[in-house]
Amino acid sequence: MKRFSQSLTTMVFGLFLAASTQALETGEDAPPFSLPGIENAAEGQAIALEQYQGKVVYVDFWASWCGPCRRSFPKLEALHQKYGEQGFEVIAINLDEQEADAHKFLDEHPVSFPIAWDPEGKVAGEYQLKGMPSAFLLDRDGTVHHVVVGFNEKDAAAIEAAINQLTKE
Amino acid sequence: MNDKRSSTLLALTAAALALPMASEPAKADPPDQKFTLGFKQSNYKEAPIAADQLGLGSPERYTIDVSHLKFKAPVSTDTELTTSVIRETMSGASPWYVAPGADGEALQVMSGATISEERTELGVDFRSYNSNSEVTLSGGYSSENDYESVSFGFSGAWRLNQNLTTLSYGANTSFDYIDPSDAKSFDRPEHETKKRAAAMVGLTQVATKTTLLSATVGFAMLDGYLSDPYKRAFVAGSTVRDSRPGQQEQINLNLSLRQFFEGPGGALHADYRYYTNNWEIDSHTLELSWYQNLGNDWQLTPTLRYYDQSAAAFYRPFYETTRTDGFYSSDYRLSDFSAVSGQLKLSKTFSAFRVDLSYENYKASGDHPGLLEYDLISLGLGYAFE
Amino acid sequence: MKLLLRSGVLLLAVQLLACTQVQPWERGHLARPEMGLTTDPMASTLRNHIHHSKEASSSVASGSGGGCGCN
Repeated sequence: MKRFSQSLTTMVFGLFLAASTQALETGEDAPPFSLPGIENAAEGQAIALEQYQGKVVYVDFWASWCGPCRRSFPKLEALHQKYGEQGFEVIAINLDEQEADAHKFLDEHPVSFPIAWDPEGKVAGEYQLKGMPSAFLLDRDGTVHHVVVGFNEKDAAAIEAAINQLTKE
Repeated sequence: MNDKRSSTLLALTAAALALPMASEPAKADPPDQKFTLGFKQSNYKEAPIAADQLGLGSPERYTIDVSHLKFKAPVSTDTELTTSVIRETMSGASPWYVAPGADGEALQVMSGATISEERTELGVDFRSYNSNSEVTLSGGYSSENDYESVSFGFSGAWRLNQNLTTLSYGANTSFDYIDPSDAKSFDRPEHETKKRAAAMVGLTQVATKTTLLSATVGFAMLDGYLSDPYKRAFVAGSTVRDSRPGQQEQINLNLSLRQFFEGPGGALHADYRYYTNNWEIDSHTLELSWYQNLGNDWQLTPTLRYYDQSAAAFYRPFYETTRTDGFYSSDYRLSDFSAVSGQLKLSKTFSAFRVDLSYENYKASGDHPGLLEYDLISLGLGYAFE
Repeated sequence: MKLLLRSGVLLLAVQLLACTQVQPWERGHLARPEMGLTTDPMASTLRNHIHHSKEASSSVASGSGGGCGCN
């Protein structure tokens, strides 16, 4: 019984250690990326973060199977419409393995901002996502100002306040 | 046999249906902020008892119609309330006691005419969710003419390790009141009570992109009147009340595997349960399901279930002599038997609408003449809106 | 009880091996409805109720987990 409880303790600690990988944090520079655009992007042209230099950018990682992502899209579209003229942009990076799944989702939740596709999760890995959805609000210098994991009404209010502030800087 | 007596004999099976618990397994995903409405209409029908195993009474057994309505509503961004109503109407006859035949074989003595009985069950679940944990509070109430049950439950989960590991726990308790009909005329107990307290812990782990593993351990304690007021046991030429110990302890262990296969586009469910109690009943249950996606959101799911249990220490089909401990029960549910069941379910999902139809056949085999075979047909409808 | 301990140890060992592999964005298959521990709660309620009333065994409750792992 004693040996069992020892090995149990070791294993539980192991689990916690494994969980403590570092995520991209506020104040760090957002890693650059260049991904194929699958909607609201010029045919055959990549969507690269560097194209958005000098703008306030909301980099959103999503997938068709992610429940909260469904709620975030109408909200992001509204923000995009409202703050677009003040230099605010949304780049939504889809992580579905099948492109068709992304399009099906976009048919049900239409948006006007560009959708990039990262089927192997390369960029998601560089941004070290901790959950789904995950989003990074970047200021005009490309520095991470806000990290959002998950999405609900409270998050939406905080995001809008931050966008409002950053677009005025 | 008069109608009144049949009615009470009928009620006994219902009495044995004391709710395990109104609660539902905790969900893994955040509340979807939707209203969902579910309805399920089922027909349960037991096959008549075989002529060579029937001692006396009607060979016809239970038919039960079950209507189940469930409504879930978001309360705030991270809480939701689920209410459900179940209405059952039952009719038929049920096993009364077992008597030895001319050659010493066990023969089932049944109750008589067909009478109707009803049961209503209400349940409420309140679920509160946050990013790393959640809790659900549940309450339930069930009522029929000779049986009432109230239950309360608390369950929760912690998500660890980027949601790859879920630690779940729960506790629930129920209080039952049993007031058998026609107690005086038929030598039945009156105003009996039963308490149940149970707790469980579980661990669920995402093992690969397509594999989910889960293990839970549960303990339960029952205290009070655990016998069946409408059943009797044949002891050395006459019958006595069904009489079981006033206390029971149970342990169960569940292991589950969920495996998705990309090639055929389907998922395998494998569930094993080990159960043991201090009446010396051990059981093993193995259930396998294959969820085959057929395109256009159609899904076909065959399920196979195997169940095997040993008999309670004091169980006999009938007794040739009296027992020193005074425990007697010839209930088939306490006998040594195994059961096989097969189910087929077809479901179709539209964007906000879901419909499913399923058929199940269950057949038990063992020494007891009253062992069951039944057919179950269910039609389910679901609708979600915002 | 021995069986119980052994299964617990086995499960934890499997977990340790598997731990860090599945990333939050790789849960597309796990998020499918048929990959849930319980896929049709109303059907489970009914079947558990029937089995519980026709067999000696009952289960305390099942666990939770899996799914899309969304936040």
